[in-house]
Amino acid sequence: MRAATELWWRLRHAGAADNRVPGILAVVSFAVATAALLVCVAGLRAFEARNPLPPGGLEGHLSDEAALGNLYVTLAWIATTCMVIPILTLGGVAARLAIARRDQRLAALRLAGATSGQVTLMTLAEAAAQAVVGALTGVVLYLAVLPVVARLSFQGRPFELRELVLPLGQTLAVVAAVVVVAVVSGASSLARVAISPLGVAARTRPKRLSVLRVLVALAAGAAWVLVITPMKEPQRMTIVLVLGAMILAVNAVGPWVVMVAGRGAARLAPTAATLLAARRIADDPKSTWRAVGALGLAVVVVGFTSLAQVDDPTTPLERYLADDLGTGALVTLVIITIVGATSTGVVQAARVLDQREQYRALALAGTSERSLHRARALEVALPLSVTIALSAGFVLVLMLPFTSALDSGLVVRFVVTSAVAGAVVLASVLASRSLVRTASRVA
Amino acid sequence: MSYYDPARMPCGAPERPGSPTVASPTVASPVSPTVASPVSPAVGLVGAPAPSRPSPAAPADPTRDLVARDLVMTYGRSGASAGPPALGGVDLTIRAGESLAVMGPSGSGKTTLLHVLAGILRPTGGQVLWRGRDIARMSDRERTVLRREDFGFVFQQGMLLPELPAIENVALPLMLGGVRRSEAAARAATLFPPLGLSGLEKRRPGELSGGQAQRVAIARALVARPGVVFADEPTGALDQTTSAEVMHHLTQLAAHTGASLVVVTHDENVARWCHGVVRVRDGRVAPDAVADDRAAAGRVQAAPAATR
Repeated sequence: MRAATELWWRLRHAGAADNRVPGILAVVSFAVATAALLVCVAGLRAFEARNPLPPGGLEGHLSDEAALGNLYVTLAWIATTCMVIPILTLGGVAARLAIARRDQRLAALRLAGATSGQVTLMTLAEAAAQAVVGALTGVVLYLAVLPVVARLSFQGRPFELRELVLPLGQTLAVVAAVVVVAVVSGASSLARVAISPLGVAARTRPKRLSVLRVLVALAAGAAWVLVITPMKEPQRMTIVLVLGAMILAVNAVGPWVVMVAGRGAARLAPTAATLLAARRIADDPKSTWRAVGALGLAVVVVGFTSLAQVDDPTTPLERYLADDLGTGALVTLVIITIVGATSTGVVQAARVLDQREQYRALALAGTSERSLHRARALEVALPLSVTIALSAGFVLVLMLPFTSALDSGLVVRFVVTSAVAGAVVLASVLASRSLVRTASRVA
Repeated sequence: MSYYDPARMPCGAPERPGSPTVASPTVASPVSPTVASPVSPAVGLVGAPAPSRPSPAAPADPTRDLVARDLVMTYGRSGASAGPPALGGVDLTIRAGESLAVMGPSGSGKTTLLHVLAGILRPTGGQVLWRGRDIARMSDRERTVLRREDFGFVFQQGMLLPELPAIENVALPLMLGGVRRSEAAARAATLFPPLGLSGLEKRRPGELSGGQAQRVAIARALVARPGVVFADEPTGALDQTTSAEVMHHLTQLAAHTGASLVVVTHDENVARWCHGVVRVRDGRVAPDAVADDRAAAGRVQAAPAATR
């Protein structure tokens, strides 16, 4: 073990230049995930502190004011549930990046006599180390954005900083959660590759995703209809649990839909750039879905909350509610967009690094840099535009029966914000343009 | 007529030089039972005779041949800090339809020579004439188009895109050049049978053996009917038998399509598949190492050292 550890340390330094960019990408991802998670938890805590449960809890008769306060907390929980899954997904993306970039060194370690168990342990330790560095950076990032978050006004008053600062214990718990996600994701990635002394198992044909995913999603949808809809006053935790299950179910079926759509697009793709993009989407539908799924969900949530109107608000608190729904929806969208853009940017950058030899070969054979950029942009733009259009269309169609209540200004705002969120995620692909330029430099 | 017409397939290995000085008698023949020997008559692919090789004595024709004149390549900044030139004045003519092996020890400048000839690197001095135009003076954009439309490339390890099936890897250069997908796929498909790849069209590169992947790379290099194919250590990652198969297919298909072939290799057995061999040493074509009758014809020359 000691010899292997020493070798790992040497290789760590020897391969430093090659691994610097992926290492930075992983740390940035962990940092963004941690900061987003801390902001979510802090916001949720602030809403709970502002709206304490009345004596006797929810069972007793609630005043209008207390009921409204309770609604705020429920909405905060719903928003947090929507945000937590993409945030944890980003943590998983970062962990996979930390693992995937180690191929050659893992093989070298095996050649040097390290057992499979030793290699696994060392790799996970490295992923955990990156997660710790990233998470601590994320804490700093969270503290830095707090003054901006504190400018948001809910229930007629802006947050105070002290409302949003988490106690040390909770902050450390979030950091620990991020590290645990990193280690668990890392272990599951490692379980999928065989690390032999001659290298990590070669990539062949990707496995088809099972149609079982569709059945799972249908079951979750049925659960929503059968469990939540008949409830007159559903418990907050029931809503959160079933909503969480729904989101997980959508995340299960999403990659399957992306795979089917990608295969269809690959069959019909008329140009080289579209063909490359469609094949990549069909090959790795999960990472495509990671990039666009959360945003699709966010568009649905934002659509319903921002377009919903409060009928004839009478009290000042009810008047605030209309504005606050819009603000809350926007905050949710902004956080999910930042997380989605980071995830997309990191996945795309990692892919260029993985395929730099192929990029160079394509460039040598006369493929213009523009074509390479176009294929990468399409790879994100195709699923992104379809997801956003479907999500926004879904919301608008469901709201159509209430057209009289629909404010056209709100609809325009909803469509524009959705488009801007999509554009931001798409723009994250641009972050790795310089990597493409470097990889495809022929001379 | 299909894009690839087996009836026009040349007969076995290319015509050999009259006195192949590099083909040492002590070197084992790379012949496998199913592959044509570079020195044997036709085996395997049959059909009409191979296109005849141009007369070695004919003068270079810059409108058809690839002609390098006085090539100099220096890496780094000029002046005292610059290292020795990677190319120190190379004159070379590659005839239309001919194959040429470029040999030399590591660091001799052979890969630099290939990159300069292929328009990948811009030489510090000299000319590379292709169909009457000086590649060295073209813009980056023009050279990119040239590499896509006029040249084909085979690398040491296929460099195929892992997410595309073999047929789409082959069709890609055509699609990048604006050919419709259905036509590109149809033209790509005609190259699979003669390369012994029938039935492998839908396989991913990860599902192919090294030799199969390299044959797919050969198909990709030739699908756009290039004027010249550049191969950089095309068998570097293969065993002897597979190397022979790959060189057999590469030379056959290049001859069939009329493409010239430039192969950088350190393997004498690979070089024997080519019409001629030049040896590069310290950035110059070694005057005593022109492997065929071309030296006498003055078509492959070492530049006079005094001019550098």
